[in-house]
Amino acid sequence: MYNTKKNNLKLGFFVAIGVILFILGIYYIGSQVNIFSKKFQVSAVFADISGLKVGNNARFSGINIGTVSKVQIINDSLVKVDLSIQENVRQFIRKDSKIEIGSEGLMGNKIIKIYTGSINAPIIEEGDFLETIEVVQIDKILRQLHSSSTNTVTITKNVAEITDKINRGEGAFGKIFADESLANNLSLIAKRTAVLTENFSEISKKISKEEGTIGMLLSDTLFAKKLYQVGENLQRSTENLAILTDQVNNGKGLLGELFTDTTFISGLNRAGKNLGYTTERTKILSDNLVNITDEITDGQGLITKLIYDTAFADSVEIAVYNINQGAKEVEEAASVVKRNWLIRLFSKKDKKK
Amino acid sequence: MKLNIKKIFSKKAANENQDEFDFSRFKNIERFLNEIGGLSRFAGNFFCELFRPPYEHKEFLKQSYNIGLSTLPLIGITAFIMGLVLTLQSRPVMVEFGAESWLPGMVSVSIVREIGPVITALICAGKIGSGIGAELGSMRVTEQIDAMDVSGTNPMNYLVVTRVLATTFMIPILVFYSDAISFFGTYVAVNLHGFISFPLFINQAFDSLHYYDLFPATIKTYFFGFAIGIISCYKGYYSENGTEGVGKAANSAVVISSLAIFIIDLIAVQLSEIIHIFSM
Repeated sequence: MYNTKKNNLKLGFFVAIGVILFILGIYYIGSQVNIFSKKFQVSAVFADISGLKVGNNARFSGINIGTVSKVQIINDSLVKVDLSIQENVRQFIRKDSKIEIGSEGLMGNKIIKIYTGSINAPIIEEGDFLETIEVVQIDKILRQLHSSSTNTVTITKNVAEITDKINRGEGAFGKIFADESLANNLSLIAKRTAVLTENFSEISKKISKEEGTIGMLLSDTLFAKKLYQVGENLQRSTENLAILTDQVNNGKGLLGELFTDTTFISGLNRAGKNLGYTTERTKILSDNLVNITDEITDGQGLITKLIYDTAFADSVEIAVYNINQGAKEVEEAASVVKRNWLIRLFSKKDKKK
Repeated sequence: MKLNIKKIFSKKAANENQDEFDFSRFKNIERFLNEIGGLSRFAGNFFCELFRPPYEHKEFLKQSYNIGLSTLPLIGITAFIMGLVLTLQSRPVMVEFGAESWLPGMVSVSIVREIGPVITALICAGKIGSGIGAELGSMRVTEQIDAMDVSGTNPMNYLVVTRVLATTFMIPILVFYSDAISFFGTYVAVNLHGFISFPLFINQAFDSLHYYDLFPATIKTYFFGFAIGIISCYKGYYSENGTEGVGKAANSAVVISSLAIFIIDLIAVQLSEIIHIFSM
């Protein structure tokens, strides 16, 4: 007996679950292609889309954010691809973002990769065109691979020739492997290098012990300060020198006039010429003096006698003494004369006049 | 004119009876064409009765219950095994190509597009088709249908319309169940040889699916249901020759329904491909 009420309930449950399963299927498929989220359109133009189809995913940082909504040939060399991108990722895509066609693995579907742009660039808008990165073609890679393999053959051939020469002891590398003297020299170099490194080690030890100038430079703060002071002084000196040279360039001061004032230079020339003339005259004078002194040293003339002849000097001294005595007597005689009345009379008349 | 036909078509007939043309060789073709014609007329009657009251709601719900809910356990077991076996059979090849991670996607596409609808429809053709054929056939040979007709009840409306509508609407729902249970079978099979989380499995399975996989597959299941219902009802409704005829009606209902499923599937695949190409 068919229990209508109970069976209808079961049937309703059965149908409801079936419909829910169908709706879930629609929803899951829709969520994979982002059919239920708000979207905006952007475009890109490629020379070759390498089999990209409507419905292929668009990825940003590895996340599916949209799909290819339209593929359209613009002309004989360009294909326009329209993308439908989720509205909630618009804020991350900039106007200078770049777009590339990639692949999901070796055998996977084609995908669109969107690369992030610069932070300062404005956010992308509806209908904008993104800059494209050209697709790397497999046949192009194969061509390059072929070229590389050809080069590799040449390289291996050359390497084989080089190794043959090395085995025969030809060339520098051949000598390295075959020549014993070279090996000895290398050994010597190694020994000297060891010594050198030992010296370097000692130097570094001294430096670490704050010995020597470099040691002081690295560790002594006072020395460093002094050095800094020297540097500052040097800087000031160079600044002053710069000011000085500026002034010289501007024609200020003596040196400036020297370098810039032409009249001063001509005056200086004249002074130089005069100095030359003076030095010539001085030279003649000095020659004459030399002759005079020669004559004096030879014992000729009055001056020689004055210098070298003691008897003549004594007689001159006596003569001077006698002259002094004579002068005194004349002075006494003159005072006697002044006191005479006759003379005094004449002197009064003169005073009245 | 008569002589020309004899010469061309039948040497045996010419030998046996020189005056009359024997159409015995064309009996099968004639029968086939009769079946097509009868089925078309029966379908036409169905559509005429479909919109003509009274509407037999209770009978429709009863048939829906019998066709839908009572078939679910069979469909469930079959779908689970189908998903499990399909995954286990596909796995070695996928592993060989290093594409094991594509297994959920590949199996899900196979189930949703083809295997789920067709296998479910075939099972329903076997269970429901034979049931309808036998039920209506026995009613015919026991003259219950005639009695209904005499008593003023429209047997076409009461018996045929309700059953065809029930198969048309229940088989798609059974296919949804079948797909879901097959996915579960696939999930179990994938986890037999490795580990994959259920969310990842669902993501991978639905990542490969598109609306052009789901909608054509769903639409064709309505045609499968309609074909099973109309063929089974036709075979049962017009069964004859007593109990032997009931058996034949049940048998031919299953055979012709199954054949119709494959023919509809072929047409549906071609149409969905064409629509998909034009929609791109």
